[in-house]
Amino acid sequence: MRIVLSTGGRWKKLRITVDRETLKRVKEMARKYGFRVDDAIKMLLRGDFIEDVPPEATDEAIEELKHKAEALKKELYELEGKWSPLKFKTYYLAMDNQNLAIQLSAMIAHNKRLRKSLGMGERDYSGLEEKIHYYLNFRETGRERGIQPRKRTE
Amino acid sequence: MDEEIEILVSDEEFQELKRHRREFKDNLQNLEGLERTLRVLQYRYLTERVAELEKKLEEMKEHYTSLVEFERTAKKDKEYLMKARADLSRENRELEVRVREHENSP
Repeated sequence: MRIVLSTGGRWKKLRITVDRETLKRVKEMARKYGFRVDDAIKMLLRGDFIEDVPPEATDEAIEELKHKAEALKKELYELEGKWSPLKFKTYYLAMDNQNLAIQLSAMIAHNKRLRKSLGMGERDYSGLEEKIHYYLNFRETGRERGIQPRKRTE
Repeated sequence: MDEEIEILVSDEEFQELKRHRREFKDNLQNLEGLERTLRVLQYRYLTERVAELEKKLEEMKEHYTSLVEFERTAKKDKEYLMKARADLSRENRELEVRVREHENSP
């Protein structure tokens, strides 16, 4: 069998004869370790092999890591599934609170005017005003928390 | 005619491989070296990938917990704001009546 290294042009080509068994083994190794056959062949031809092998880099450890990565991906996927709807739910909840804050803001101003015209003292709105201020600025604070409306898909 | 496998390489790769041309024969015998290299590279990649996924999962868990906490607070706030709206609405209506009475009194 022959391996032809080419740059795509007509002239720049290198032809290397290789026996069928070698190529079969390279293909098996590439598949086993998740590499492209082309890359494995190039690596083999260059001979740039790693000499310093950490003792923990065994086939068993690789299998274990693969399983661990799969389990983590599954866990991430499941969490994402719960996280996305909650994100939108809380956004609309915060928007409800923002509408309430707008209404309350006008009502407090009205209450202050009425009390003044009756010569009454002001009520303590401090706790309420704190909440109103928070939800009126929610677009900013929500963005910081990653709570944003669902993007419209066309 | 022999079967051929064509591998496309960049100009730089081609020059580099050409420099190793005399070593090809020996290198092709060193399948153990290739296997060792592929195994270590795969091991390194997977170790990094697992660490990356663990970090992402940790961040996401934190984010999720904070979101659950926020939902709880926002629900309580909604109840509080609705109650305040009802209270203020009632008080404003009463005050409006009193202001009107006050304005109409001689």
